[in-house]
Amino acid sequence: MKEDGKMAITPFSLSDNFTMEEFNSRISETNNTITNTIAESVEEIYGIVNQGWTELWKQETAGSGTWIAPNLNDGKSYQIGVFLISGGESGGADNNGYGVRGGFSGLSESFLMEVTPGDSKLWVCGAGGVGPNAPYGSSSQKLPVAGGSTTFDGKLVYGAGVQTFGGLKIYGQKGLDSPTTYRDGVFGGFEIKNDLVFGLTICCFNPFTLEKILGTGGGASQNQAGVGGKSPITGLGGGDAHAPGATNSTGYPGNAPGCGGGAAVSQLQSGVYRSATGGNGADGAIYIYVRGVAV
Amino acid sequence: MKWVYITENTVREVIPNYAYPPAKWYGAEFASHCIEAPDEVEQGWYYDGKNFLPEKPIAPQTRIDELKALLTSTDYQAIKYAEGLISEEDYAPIKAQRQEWRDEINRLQELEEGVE
Repeated sequence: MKEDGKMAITPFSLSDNFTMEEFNSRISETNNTITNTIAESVEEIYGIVNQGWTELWKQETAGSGTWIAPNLNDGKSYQIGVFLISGGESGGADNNGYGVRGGFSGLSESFLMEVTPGDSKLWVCGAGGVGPNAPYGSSSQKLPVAGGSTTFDGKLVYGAGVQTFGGLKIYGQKGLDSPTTYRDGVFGGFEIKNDLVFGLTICCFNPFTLEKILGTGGGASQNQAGVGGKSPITGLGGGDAHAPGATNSTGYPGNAPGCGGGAAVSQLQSGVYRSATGGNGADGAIYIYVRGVAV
Repeated sequence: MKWVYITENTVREVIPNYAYPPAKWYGAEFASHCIEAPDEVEQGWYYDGKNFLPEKPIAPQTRIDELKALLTSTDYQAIKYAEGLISEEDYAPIKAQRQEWRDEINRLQELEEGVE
């Protein structure tokens, strides 16, 4: 490869009375040269430059901090892909044995930005909603608790159930409100056309890794606990519900970023209300991807 | 004290303490909806622009209507007492309850008139 980026191919010459055999032979030699040169250049390019997105940095627990752009491009600026997920909603808690829904998922946002080595970006990774408690000894039903908002360099994605539109809370993946109708969680942009269940398909998808994300926690009715909406690939997602009957109950937490927690339902036993605690929503996450620079 | 994010007079999110003050960590738009609140305030509380309340207060007229409905729903017991079908002893707690409802109606109406 020459400095100007062109391939150094030596023109071949033929004798005045060349035969087709000689011509084909020289053509073959040249083709081999071109093939070898291209192979070298491909190796040269792909050896240091990744054409796809590669994960550079991630934060999958709640917190805050400053991300500083590393020097990946000989001191020059480069492009990063940022993917934000907000905290999932907790599961609800009910000690009357009536039933309560699981937590719905957070939302996601993706964008590209140019950074220069040394640039600092403030970030906050939203916490999952903390599961509420319907206390031992008194009748109570507690609704799911919203997740925390996630932000990177001022660009924000609202936590599960934080933002409202027309008085309705907004989620990435929503499930049914009624645990007596359907208890199991749903995952990855699951949608039913009658609007009973609605997931924002593009929101429940990581465009950098091509993976479906975000699931709801399982809901619970009397003695019946739904399972969380989980990824069929990883098996992770929304937390399962817990409805053991006349004893204390605790919903399971969401175990993939932004997913909802499972519901908890207990029942009155010997005239005493048993404790029920909803499963925590999963914390949000921040991912930074790069391509076209050395990593 | 804690920071909370408020829209439509409702606490939507309790800001985690690792993200204080919100103006430093979040964008300007989000931070403009964050205010300081007492420690006991939780998600879902109502904010009237000055005070935080666990629930949105019921308008006086709405409460008056509720109390009048309660009186109406127990009128039959007053009639039964007047016709001698309930003893004075049995009717006493009902009478006391109905009087409490009337007193509350009167207080709310006075409050309404005071506002006007």
